[in-house]
Amino acid sequence: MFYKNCFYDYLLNYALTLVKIIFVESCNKLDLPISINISILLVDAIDKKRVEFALKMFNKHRGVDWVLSSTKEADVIIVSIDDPDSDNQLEGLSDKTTITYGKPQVNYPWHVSPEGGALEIMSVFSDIYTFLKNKRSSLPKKTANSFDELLSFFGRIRLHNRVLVKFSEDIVFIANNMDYTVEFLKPKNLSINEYISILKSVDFEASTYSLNDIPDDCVSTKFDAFIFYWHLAHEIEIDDAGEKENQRVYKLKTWPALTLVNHQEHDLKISALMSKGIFDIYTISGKARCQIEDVYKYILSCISVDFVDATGNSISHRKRSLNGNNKRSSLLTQVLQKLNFLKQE
Amino acid sequence: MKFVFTGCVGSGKTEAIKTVSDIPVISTEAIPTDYLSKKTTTVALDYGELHLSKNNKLELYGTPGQRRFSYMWEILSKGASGFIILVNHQRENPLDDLDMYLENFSKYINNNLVVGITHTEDVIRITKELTMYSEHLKKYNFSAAVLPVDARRACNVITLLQALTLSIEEKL
Repeated sequence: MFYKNCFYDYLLNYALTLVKIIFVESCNKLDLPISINISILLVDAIDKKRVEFALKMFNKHRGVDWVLSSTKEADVIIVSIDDPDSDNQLEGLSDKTTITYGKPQVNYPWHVSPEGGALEIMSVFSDIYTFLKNKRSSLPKKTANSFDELLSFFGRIRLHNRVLVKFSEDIVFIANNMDYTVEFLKPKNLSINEYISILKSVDFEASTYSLNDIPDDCVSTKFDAFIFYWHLAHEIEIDDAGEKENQRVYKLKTWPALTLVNHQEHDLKISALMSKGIFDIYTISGKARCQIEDVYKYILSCISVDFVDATGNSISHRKRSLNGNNKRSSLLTQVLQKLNFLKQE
Repeated sequence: MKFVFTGCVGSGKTEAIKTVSDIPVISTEAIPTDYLSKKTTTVALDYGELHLSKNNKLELYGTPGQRRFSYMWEILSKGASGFIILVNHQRENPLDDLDMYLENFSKYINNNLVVGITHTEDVIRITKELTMYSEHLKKYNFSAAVLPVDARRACNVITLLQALTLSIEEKL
């Protein structure tokens, strides 16, 4: 124990000195701090402490975050190459940046050895930091997949009787709010699922155009608007809403035609709940016992066909809804259980 | 607990009950004397059951469609927890049909209602048609689910029953 403590003290002083000399200057060259999740899979407690200590030093002097996280969430993992289980530990983690700790390995670009000490560890961290920062800045940014923006997009479509919508250059459709249809113009002979997968791949960056832009000689395919928007909303990954949207309350005007689409029990619960009152997203999620994202998807697909109205924030509605009666009749519960059972059969 | 299916002749009431019932449906079918496109019609009632537990069951009653058998409507409606009105979308005036059943059953419904729109297979723009029915219900101050239903498909009928059950539960 005594030797261990001595080792830590020695390591602390050694590292502090090095950090002061080397990193204060060099790290100033790096800009825009980012957060990097890291998981340390080292069995040896002292090795693990050394790495954690080096991370803390790096964070302190760089003002950035190397955050200890689970292996699943990690951007970077550190494994001991001397550990016989290291190969198993790396299974299914090929997308992560791996630092090997131990003997130098050809297959792994990032490596630290126990002999190298804190200087080497932090030097590797610095290189990885720069590498990941550059990699992230080159990734395309999602532009319109937040709930606020999608809601605004679907709301804009609803405002016009006929509106031409373009997704990239290939996907063009006319949203017709007079007869609740979506009519696609080119490309030819694609199914609804193929359309949707293309829409998904272009990250839902849509623009609306005037109807004068309709291409000549187009081939069109017509879908019921609700069916199309339901599928579309369920295909898109929706980020969280802003605070403003979370405070908004929603009113159901017409039940969505759930018998026509694949649906979960919570879609029916949300519909039943909303047919009895006006609620915000969080209240719907809580009362219908479902995920916020499920509520987002439901609201988006309904709002696009005017089945749901987004109204202004109403604190009184929220208070009333939160004080709702949560009694459940045991007989009704039995009926629901039986119906769910039959549906799954 | 008791749910009642009602609606015009040929809207699919008997078929819907048959589709989901745990027991062979007890039917009172007879050859129609009036001109109908179907071979038999319900003259008194249809009866099916969903077994919930040892002591509990959900009773599914189907009413006759014709107005001349309306004495059965009152008898079957007593003690019902929920109502399912089926509307044949292919009929000449489906909204008039809906009116007739809403008016006759309104004193029993107590807003425990769902409306199933049947025979919609060939309708592309079903969303618009559903809006029409929903708007119509609002004239009677009903905020009921309106769902397109194929009475031959169990998942459709079950969804309709789930919607009704959840609507009743939400009011508790």
